[in-house]
Amino acid sequence: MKTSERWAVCGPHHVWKAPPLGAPEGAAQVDRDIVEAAQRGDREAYADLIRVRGDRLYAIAQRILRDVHRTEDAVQDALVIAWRDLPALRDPDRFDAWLGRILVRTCIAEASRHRRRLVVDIQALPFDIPVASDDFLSVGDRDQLERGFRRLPPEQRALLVLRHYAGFEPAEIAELLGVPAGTARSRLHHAHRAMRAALEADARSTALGGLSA
Amino acid sequence: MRRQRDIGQVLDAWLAPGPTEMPDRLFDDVLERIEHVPQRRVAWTARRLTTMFATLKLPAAAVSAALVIGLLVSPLWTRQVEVAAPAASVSAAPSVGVPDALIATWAAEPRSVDGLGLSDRVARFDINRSGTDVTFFVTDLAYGLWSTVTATAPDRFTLTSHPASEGCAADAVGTYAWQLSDDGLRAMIRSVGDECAARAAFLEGTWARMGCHILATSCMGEIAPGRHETGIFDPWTEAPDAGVARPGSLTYTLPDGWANSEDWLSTARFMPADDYRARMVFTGAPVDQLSVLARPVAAIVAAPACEFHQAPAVGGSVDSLVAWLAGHPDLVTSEPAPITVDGRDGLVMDVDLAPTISEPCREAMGGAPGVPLFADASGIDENGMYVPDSTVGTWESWVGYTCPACTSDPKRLILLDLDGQPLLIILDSAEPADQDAFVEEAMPIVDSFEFPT
Repeated sequence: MKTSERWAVCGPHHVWKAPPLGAPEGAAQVDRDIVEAAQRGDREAYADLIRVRGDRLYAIAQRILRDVHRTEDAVQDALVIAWRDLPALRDPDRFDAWLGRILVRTCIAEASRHRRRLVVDIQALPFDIPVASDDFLSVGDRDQLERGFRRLPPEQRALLVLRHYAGFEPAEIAELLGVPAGTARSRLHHAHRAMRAALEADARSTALGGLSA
Repeated sequence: MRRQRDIGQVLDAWLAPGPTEMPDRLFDDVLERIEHVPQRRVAWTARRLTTMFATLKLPAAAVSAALVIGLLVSPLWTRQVEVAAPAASVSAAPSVGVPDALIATWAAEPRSVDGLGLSDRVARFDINRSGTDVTFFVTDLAYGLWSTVTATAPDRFTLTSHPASEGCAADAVGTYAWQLSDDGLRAMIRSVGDECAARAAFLEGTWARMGCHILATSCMGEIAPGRHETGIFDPWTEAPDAGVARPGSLTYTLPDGWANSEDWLSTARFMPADDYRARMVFTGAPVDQLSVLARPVAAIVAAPACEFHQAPAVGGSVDSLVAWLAGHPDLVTSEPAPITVDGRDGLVMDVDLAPTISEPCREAMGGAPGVPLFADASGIDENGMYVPDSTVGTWESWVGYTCPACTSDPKRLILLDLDGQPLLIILDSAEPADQDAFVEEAMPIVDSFEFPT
């Protein structure tokens, strides 16, 4: 599956959503036409493009940023920047990877901008995603994961979300981010290791009865 | 929890639930916003730059030049610009149209403006034309200081803030005097009066023109042959800090047909214009390139984790780094030879992969035989692991130089001593067979380097 198709898919635990890309024959050509129209300044075409991608972008941004307001800021910034810079996209077939890259960048920028506030607020902020019940993770597990995840730098959070929510393979992440595949693999490995370390640090501070931020 | 279960499975399960729909309100907000946001127009072909230089003429009139002439004392600052025809929509005041020479991304040293959330490493803004609309905005913010640009004289423009502008009240007007350097790559901008103090605080000063067409990368792009200087590259900040924009820290002479393909905190990169155009769309295909890398540290990738690390027990001096290369079991190296660039002593050597190499981490190297050579010191964490921070780099420089020799490419490496700090220069052809010819072509550029302090 190409990277561009993956943006139309919900996470690995979800079924396919509606096109834009990947499902019906000829959809890619249709999308190319729409992208080219948007590049020429057609706002309705751009609205069509983001209408079918918005949910996906929002879901990914929300999981990276863990905060509704920051998510909305990042998604809105990404979509406005994408509109603004769309004529600079040389290959319309790469629209999805390009848009995904912009989204990840805006998420990282948003997270970095608020990193200091995040550190302060980490104890106070309730996690605002409704927790679905499953038999795999306890509430305690989820809290620990939440704290551990928030300890990670934004770019590592983004990598983990792209891999474990969006379901991208490392080679696809590499294409999305515009880095060599080996670099993406290496960074993903670092991110996994950092997540483990964050969980262990959280467990230690919990055991000591201290604050986990 | 993590002991019993694979961390990947845990993350799969934990990240799955949660919101999956963008609120309609947010979608509507985006549509409302883009109603007022013109698109950035880009000419892809062999570029209007040639045209721009062809149309630049000596001054016709410089009524307002006296306002800035006191500032423009350098012989570089002599250019006047023949303005374009008036834009139909620019009706406020006497309109002369915004010259193409201003339409670009511009970069400068970082600056602090309360409440704007600006980068503390580099300041950037765009002046962007879309049809008859010309807008100004802070590059890294969606709405930062967002204003409409109107040229009112050959050396003046006004900025009128948009109602959605971040940092300025709606319709706040500011007037600025400006002047270009001879090569068109520097703009000196001075506030003549601005109702938006934040905008004046941000905008006053000297800016470097970034005409980059490689997505998400900062560079000057295709520039005229001749003498130029970098706008952002910073070889002087001491490792492990990532540096700050430091205009003019590397000056160079480019021959015809070359481009600057990266100008960022730790990296300045040059390549033939054909390769630059090919690089506009990231394909991963190799290109001819001449890279200048600040703050290099020796790097390794080692089993079993296959993580990039700073090579242990390798010093940071030129001699130490060259000795490490010469003793590297996976490399064939030439005898290091002394070299001097701009009076800075260094060593030059050619490196290639050994016929047989130990490669326990081929996956981490992208699947091809290879070894890492250097990493950016700012990406080395407290454990010696290389975890580059994308917030201080472009995507290109986030790739960094984790793997400048990750294929079986021969490369010429030059390590210079910059007042005790190493600086690495890499000459790397796309095709190994072309390496010697590329070195011959690119070495005059290296010889032209100067590093003003």
